[in-house]
Amino acid sequence: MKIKYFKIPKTKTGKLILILFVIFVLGGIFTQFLYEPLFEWYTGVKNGKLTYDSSIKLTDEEFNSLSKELTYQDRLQRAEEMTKNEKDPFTRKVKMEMLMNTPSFIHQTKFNHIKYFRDAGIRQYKGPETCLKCHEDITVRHADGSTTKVNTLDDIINSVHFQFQRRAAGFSTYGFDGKQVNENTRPIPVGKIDRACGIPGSFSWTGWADLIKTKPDSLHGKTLLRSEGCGQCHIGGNYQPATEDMMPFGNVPESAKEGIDCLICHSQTYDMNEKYVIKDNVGLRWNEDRSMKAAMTVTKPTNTNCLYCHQHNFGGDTYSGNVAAHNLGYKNPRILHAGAKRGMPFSPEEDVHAAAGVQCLDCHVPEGHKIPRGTKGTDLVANDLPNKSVACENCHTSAPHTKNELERVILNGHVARVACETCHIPYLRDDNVVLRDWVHPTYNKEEGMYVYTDILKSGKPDIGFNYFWYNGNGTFLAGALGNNPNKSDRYDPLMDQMTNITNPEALLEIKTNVKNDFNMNDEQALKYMQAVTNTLSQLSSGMVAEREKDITEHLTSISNLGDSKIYPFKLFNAYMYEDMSNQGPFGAMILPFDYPTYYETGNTLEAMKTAIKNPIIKRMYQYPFKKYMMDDFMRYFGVKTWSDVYPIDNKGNLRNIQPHWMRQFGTLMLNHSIKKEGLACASCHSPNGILDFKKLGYSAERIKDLTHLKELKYFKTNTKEVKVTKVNSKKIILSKR
Amino acid sequence: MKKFIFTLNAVIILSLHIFPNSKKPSAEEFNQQCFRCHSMATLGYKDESSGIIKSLAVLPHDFYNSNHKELECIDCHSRDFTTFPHPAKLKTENLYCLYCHKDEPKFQKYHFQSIESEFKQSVHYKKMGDKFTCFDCHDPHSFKINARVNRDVKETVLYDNHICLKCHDNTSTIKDLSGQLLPTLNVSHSWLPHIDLHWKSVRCIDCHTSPNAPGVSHLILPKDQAVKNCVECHSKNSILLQSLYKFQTKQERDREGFINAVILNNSYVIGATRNYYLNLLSFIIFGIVLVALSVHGILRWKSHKGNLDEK
Repeated sequence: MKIKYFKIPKTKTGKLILILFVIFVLGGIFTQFLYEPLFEWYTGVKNGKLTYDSSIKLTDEEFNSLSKELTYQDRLQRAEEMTKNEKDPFTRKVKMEMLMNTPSFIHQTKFNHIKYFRDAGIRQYKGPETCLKCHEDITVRHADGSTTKVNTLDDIINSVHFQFQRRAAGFSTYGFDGKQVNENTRPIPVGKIDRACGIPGSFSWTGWADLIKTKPDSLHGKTLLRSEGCGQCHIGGNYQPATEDMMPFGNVPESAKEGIDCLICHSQTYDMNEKYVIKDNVGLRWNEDRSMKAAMTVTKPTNTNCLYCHQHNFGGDTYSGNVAAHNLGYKNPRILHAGAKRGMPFSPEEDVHAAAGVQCLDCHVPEGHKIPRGTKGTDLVANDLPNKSVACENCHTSAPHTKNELERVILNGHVARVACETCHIPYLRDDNVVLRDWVHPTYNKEEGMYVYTDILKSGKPDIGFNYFWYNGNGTFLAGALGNNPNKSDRYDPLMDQMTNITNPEALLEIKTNVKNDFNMNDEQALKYMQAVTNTLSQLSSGMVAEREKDITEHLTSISNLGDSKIYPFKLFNAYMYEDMSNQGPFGAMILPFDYPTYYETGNTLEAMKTAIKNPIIKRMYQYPFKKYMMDDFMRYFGVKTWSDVYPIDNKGNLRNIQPHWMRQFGTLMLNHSIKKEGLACASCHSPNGILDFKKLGYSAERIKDLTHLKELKYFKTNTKEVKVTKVNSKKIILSKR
Repeated sequence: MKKFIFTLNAVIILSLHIFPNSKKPSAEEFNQQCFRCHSMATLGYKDESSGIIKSLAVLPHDFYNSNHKELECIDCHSRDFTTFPHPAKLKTENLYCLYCHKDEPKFQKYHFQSIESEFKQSVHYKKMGDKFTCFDCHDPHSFKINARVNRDVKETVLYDNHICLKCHDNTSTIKDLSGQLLPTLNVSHSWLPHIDLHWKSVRCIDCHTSPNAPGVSHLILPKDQAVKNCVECHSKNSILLQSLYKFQTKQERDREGFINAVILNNSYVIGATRNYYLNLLSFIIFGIVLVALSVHGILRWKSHKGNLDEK
């Protein structure tokens, strides 16, 4: 008799159970074994085992001598302090030597991990796995004083520093359709991961890690490989950003978690020379410092740690105080980017808080590995703690001025309408880039490569930065939203001052630069300038009308929310290729550049074409991505639906592509490089002051009052000894107290 | 001729003085001069001795919605404030509500005199003396008579409690003022069930003042004399009817008639129905229901028994 091992059940319930069981098993097989390879095939992401040459096992002797070396300064200082009363110099020397070699004295150091490693026998740093041995969980203290225990790895994996995106609500950004990003709608992943940006000229997938062949003059024709890409500043160490986290399901693969660079934030001896691009069997990725030395000096993050990366957006790569920029890599040195993103370094020379030793985390008070960036923001950057405030008044209160009895009251009065930064960031550094032309690169002999051309750099008010009403919200394309508290419709920056350049000094500088850099004659230069000095001239009249309609219908009510104050904003515009199939009244989808092609050949069209052949860009133009996120993304952008016409046709030719300036300047918040001396009254309250009261929406009568204050003369004592900095056709007067 | 012109000039100048530009500026126009600075919401300074931020702001919106909206600033403040910078001697300017409010017949109904005597017996005055003034609780620039006109008791509670909480919700302020580190309000009131509900529904002064005042009591009692017995509020003769609900009851009586007001009163808050006939009525209804139920039960039992017998 034949034995039946399997019998299809006859009853309905039986069949149902069987079907569910099969689905369960197939689903399990899919998620466990098939999803990852399918996902990698579809998106082009790569994963593999991550190893680092700097992770070397030390012998006990090496460990001991290293620990002595690392604590030397600390021990010396303490020994000097303890023996300071010893008058005889030789006795003191002997005493100090004894003290410094006493075991307990060696152990009492700020680098307490040396002792932990010694006791636990840890002689090799292997990345997160070493840290997690002890720090599997951490206790997170929240703003209200409560605490929770979280898994450390999950905490960091779900932080913006790892993901560069946020799928939940919590953006201070409003789409041009009037909808707050991810609020009361199907949320989509948004953040640095999918935001093409004109400052780096690329975005994180197409420009993660690249090796560029350069021919610097100093090497007389020899080639120097240089490292470039967004990955250098991000804590993930694998071959691309955390793409898996963008998808409806799927998680970061285990191998990617191995790449997390704990030490760049926690080590006090992290060697930035270990940050360079390496090539292995799988592809290109960024190297890390995984030396035992770096691990032995682990502490809570200090300013040095934050500034390894963040000085890049504050002072810029070429700022002399940028520590990372002096340690470009033992191999394939990193490319430095001229033209600072903001031109406001956080350094003792430039910022009063840095000079006072204030730590980044004193204001940006973290909760575990989630770090707040404040409740305000114009740029589309994801925020781990969107409701946690980071603000001057948290320490300085609403009555920050304390010196002169008459003056302090009036100055404090300004706090309701004028942000602290407006007076206390009177200027930026001169290399603050305002206009960047990516389409017409120039060959830099010293660097031996083609670089973008910055046609306007300035740290002066009205040129490098300007003043806007701001209620903490921004548009999808980094425009400050707000309105004069008189709620008039006279203030309309998206049709006016965010779309044009009228400052004569700026116009002259652009013209000079354009003529010199591009060898243009007067006529050509003027034609070139038209688009950038009047960005709306790039739109058809129909588009301009639509733009006005969108602003009135969708943005005015948002600008009128809350209490606006006048804030300074860095201005920025870029000339880039755009996909004109996806154009709206506020701009079109900008297209990224492939860095090697760009820097090596200067052929910008080819560089763009190479970049958009990247699988993930191709997928953006296909059905699932269109439905999953691009349609929503473009709605915020002011474009009804995402056109999935891929910019390269079947024959390999480009289509619907034009170079353009963005239709309005981006406005980026300025919060660092705070000066102790603020602007003096007359800097604004004079007929030729740096605030354009008319453009700020004041009535003619009020402007007359504000520019001819009869009380001003009583404040003259303070402007008598002023340091007048001629940085502008309009002059800034710094008050000297 | 010259002489004539001179005389004419003199006449004109003189007449301008005697008949000044006939249109006197309105209070609002006059105040505008002060509001040029004082409308700045953050106008103020950190007081050197206490470290507390002293606000010098008067928000025009609040002022023109306050009871004092018709006044010119210099009706209360010295005329010397019209010069800028303000003369230093004005720092000691000492204003007192009763300078205006004492003898004027139209203010009689507000009982300012009894408020003054209550205040003098209150714990604030006893402990702090002249350092404590009316203005520490009542900002004359936004003062709006509240309990008397507000129909919504909860709003009255919110407005009034805010006055107390300005100082009392902050242990460091209290320490600066009294020299004592006192427990937080939630701790000192932890005996009270449903603290948050009480905060929202009862004014601090309802328990912390002596209730026998003609208006809103200003006799703030020391803490050991405050009401701590639930029944004093949650009863037929709730003291809240003398204070918090006084004006509401009166208003409703005027509006809806005595009977309606008594029946429709928000009686749950106080905890007991205060109408004898309603009580009686509910007892009667309860009795009838009880009787009906027992009759029904007996009948069911009887018929069931009958059915069994038949079988």
